[in-house]
Amino acid sequence: MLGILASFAIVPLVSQDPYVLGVWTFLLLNILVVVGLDLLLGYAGQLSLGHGIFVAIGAYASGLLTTKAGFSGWTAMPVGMLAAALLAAIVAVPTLRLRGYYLAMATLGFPVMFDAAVRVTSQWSGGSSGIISIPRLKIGGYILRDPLVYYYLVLGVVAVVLLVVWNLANSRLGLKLRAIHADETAASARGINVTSLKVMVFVASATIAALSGSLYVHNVQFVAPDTFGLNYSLTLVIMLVVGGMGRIWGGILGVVLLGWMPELLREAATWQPVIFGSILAIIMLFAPSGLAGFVRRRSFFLPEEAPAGPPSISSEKPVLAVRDIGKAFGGVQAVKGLSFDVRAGEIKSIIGPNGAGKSTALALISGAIAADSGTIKLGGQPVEQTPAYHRARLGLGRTFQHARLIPTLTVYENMVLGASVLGNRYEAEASMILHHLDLVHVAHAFPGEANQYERKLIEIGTALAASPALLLLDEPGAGLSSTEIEKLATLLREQKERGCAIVLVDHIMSLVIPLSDSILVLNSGSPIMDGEPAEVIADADVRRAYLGERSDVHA
Amino acid sequence: MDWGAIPQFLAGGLAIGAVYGLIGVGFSLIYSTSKVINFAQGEFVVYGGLTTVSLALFDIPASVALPLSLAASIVMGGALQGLLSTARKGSNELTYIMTTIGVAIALQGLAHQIWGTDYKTYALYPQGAIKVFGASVNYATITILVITALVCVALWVFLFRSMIGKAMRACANDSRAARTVGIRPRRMALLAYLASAAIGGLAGMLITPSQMMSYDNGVILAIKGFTAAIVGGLANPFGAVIGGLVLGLLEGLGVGLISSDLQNAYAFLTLLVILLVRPQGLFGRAEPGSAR
Repeated sequence: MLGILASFAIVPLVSQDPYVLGVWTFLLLNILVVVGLDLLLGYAGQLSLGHGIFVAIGAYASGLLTTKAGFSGWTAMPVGMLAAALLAAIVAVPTLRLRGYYLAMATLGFPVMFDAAVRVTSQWSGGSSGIISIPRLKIGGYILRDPLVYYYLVLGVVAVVLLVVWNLANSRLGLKLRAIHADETAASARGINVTSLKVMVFVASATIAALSGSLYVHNVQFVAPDTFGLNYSLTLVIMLVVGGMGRIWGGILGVVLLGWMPELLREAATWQPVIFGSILAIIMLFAPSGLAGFVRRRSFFLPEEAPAGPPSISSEKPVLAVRDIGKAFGGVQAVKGLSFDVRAGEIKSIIGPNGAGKSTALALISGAIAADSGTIKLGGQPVEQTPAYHRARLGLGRTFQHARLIPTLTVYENMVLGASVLGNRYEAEASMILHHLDLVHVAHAFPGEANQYERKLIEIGTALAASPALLLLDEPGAGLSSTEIEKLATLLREQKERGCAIVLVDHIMSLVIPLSDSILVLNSGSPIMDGEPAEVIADADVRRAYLGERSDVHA
Repeated sequence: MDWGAIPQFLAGGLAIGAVYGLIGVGFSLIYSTSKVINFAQGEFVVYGGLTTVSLALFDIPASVALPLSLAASIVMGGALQGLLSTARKGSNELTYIMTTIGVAIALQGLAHQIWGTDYKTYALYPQGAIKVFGASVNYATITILVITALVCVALWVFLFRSMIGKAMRACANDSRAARTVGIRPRRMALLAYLASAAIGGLAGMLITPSQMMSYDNGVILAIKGFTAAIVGGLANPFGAVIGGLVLGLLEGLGVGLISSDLQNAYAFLTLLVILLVRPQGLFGRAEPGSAR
C-alpha cells in the first residue's frame, strides 16, 4: 500500500502539465470515494447505487457555505461530512435491515431526490445551473491555486484515509465485514452485531465521499446538481467492480484503469455508457472478483506457539433455563410447552422423530428465531428479547445442521472470527483451538477444501473459540464414521470437564446415549419425557414414538 | 391548494399508474421465478416505445407496428435471460443484479445512439375525453386502463388455468420441489423473462403516445415499476398492478397539490415509506425471522 501511495507521489515528476495534474487530482478524489464504497460493497456486501449523492452533499455544502455564508473552506468541509453522515444514518437504518437489493433500489433514487431538492430550493441552492465561483482553499493567506500544490494536498488526504482504511480492512473488522457479506446468520451467531456494523460502514463511506466532494469544488470552483448524479454513481461501482471488490487496492486499480476513459473517448463520449455497461455485465458474469480476484489474499497471521488450554467455567445457577417456550409457523405449532434446565458440565440431548421441533428448539434458544411464548434464561439472565448476536456474546455457541462456515475466509480466519467476541485474546484462543483440534494443517485453506469431518470440527472449533458457557450442537454426528463419532464424543467430554453446558440434538444413539447426562424426547413439538438415558430408552412411549418398539437400543 | 381539482389530479395519474403497474408485473414475474431483480426492466419499456416510434415513422400501420415491436421486446427478454444464464455457477444475487445494471446502462447508451436525445412520440389514441366525477378522463387513459385490465385477465388465466402457468407458480413457490416433478426452473425463468419483456414493451407502447418517451426514461421507470411491485408485494404480480395504480394516484395528487418539480421524488418517498413500514407490501407475507 505504501508503495502504491509512493508511486502516486512520483506522478508530477513525470509531467507538470496542469491539465494532466488536474486529471490525476480528479482520479485521486475518485479513489477516495471508491475506497469508501469498497468498504460498503466489497467488504460488507451492500450495494449502494447512488453514492454520488454523498459526494454532492460535500460539494454543495462547501460550495454554498463558502459562497453564500462566508464560511472558510476548512470549516465548511466538516459540515458537509456531517450532513452526509446524517443522511447515510437516516437511510441506512431502515433499509439495511432488509435484503441487499432493497438498498440498491432505494439508493438508485438518490440522484433523483437530490436533483428535486436542489430545484425546489433554487433560490439559494443555485437550482439547475449550479453554484459558480466557489473560492479556493487558503492556508494562512496563501491561496491554493497551483495544480501541483493541490495535487499534493489531495494526495496527502487520500494517503491518510487510505492507510486507516487499509489497516481496518486487514484487521478483525475486515473479517467481520466479510463474514456479514457471506452469511449474515452465521455472522450473527458468532456475536457480530450485523445491523450496527452495516450502518457504521455506510456512514463512514458517506463521510469519506463528502470529503472528496469538498476537495473537488475548491479546485474546480463549480458544481451542478448532475455533476455527481446517476452516471457518476454508477461509474464508481463499475470502476470498483472491474478493479476488484473487497481488496482496497482493487478500487485504486479500477479508478486508474477506467478513470481515463472519458478523456480517451472524448470524441465518442456518448459511447461511454455502452462500453462501461458492457464491461460491468461481462465482469460480473465471468470474473465477479474483478482484476484483483486473480491475486490471492494474504491470510491472517497465525502465531506459531500453541498457548495454554481453555479456561474453566463454574456456576451454581443453571447455565440454561428454558420455561414453557412455544413457536408456531402459520398454522403449524412447531414447539409447545418446552421446559428444561441445563447446568454447567451437563450434557443434555434432545431426540425425537423428524419434524419434532428439535432444530426449532435450538433456534429459539440461540435467538435465530423469536419465541412466541415462554422464558429463556442464560446464567439466570432473561434473554427472550435479546438478539442472537448478543446471546453469542453472553457465552452461547452453536453449530448448524449444515455447517455454516464463511466460505471466503480461511479456516483459521473463521476461528478468529469466532473468537473475536473475546476481545484481545482472540488470536491466542483461535490458535489454541486450532492446535487442540489438530487442524493446523488446514489453517490457511478454505472451508470448501476440507473434508466433511474436518468441516464439522472446524465449525465446532469456531464455536469453541469463543469459550462458550453453553454449546448448542445440531446433529454433529450426521455423516460421520464410527471412529469419527468416538473422537467427537471425546472432544465433547473434554468440554464437559471444562464446565461447559452442552445441548445436543442428534439421531445417532451410539453418540447420544453414552455421552448424555439426561435425554429429552420431543414429539410433534412437545416433550414426552425427560430423564436419564437408561429410563428414556426403556420407556414405552418413547419407543413407540421414535426408537422402535422392538429396537435393541440399550444404554 | 386546489382541493376541488383533486379528481382531475387523480385522473391524471391513472394512465401512468397503470403503466407503472405493468412494469411492476415484470419485476414480480422475474423475481418469483429466478430471485433476480431485473434492473433492465425499464429499458424494455423504453425500447418498446421507441421502436414503435421508429416503425411509425416508416408509415407502418399500428396494427403491424405494435406486434412487431412486441416481438422485438420478447427477443430482448430472451437475450437477457440467455446472457444471465452464462454466469458462473454459484454466483450470488448481487452478481445477477449488477449484471442487469450493466445491461441497463449499456442499453440506455445504445438507445441514445439510435434515437438521440429528443422526446419522441407517435399517434395512437383518438382525441377526446369523457367526464367522470367531475374529472376529464381522456380516451388515452381509458384505453390504457382497459388494456391493462385485459393483460391482468390474461395473466390470471395463464397462471391459474393453464398447465404452464401452474408450473411457473410451482417454481416460484419452491423451485427444488418443482424440479422433482419434472418442471425445469430454467425454462420457467426464461418464460418469465419473455413475459416480462413483452409486458414491459407493451407498457412502453401504451405510454409513449400519451406522454412521450426519451432514451433515458429507463431508470426512472424501473424505480417506479419496482416501487409498484414492492407496494403490492414482490411475489404478487396482481399486487404490482394495484401498487402501480396507487403510485400513479399518489403522484398525480403530489404533482397537482404540491409541486411538479418533485414529480419523481414521490415514487422514491413512497418506496422509502413502504420499506420502513411494511416491506412485504400490501399483499405479501412477512418473511419469518427476517428483521433482526
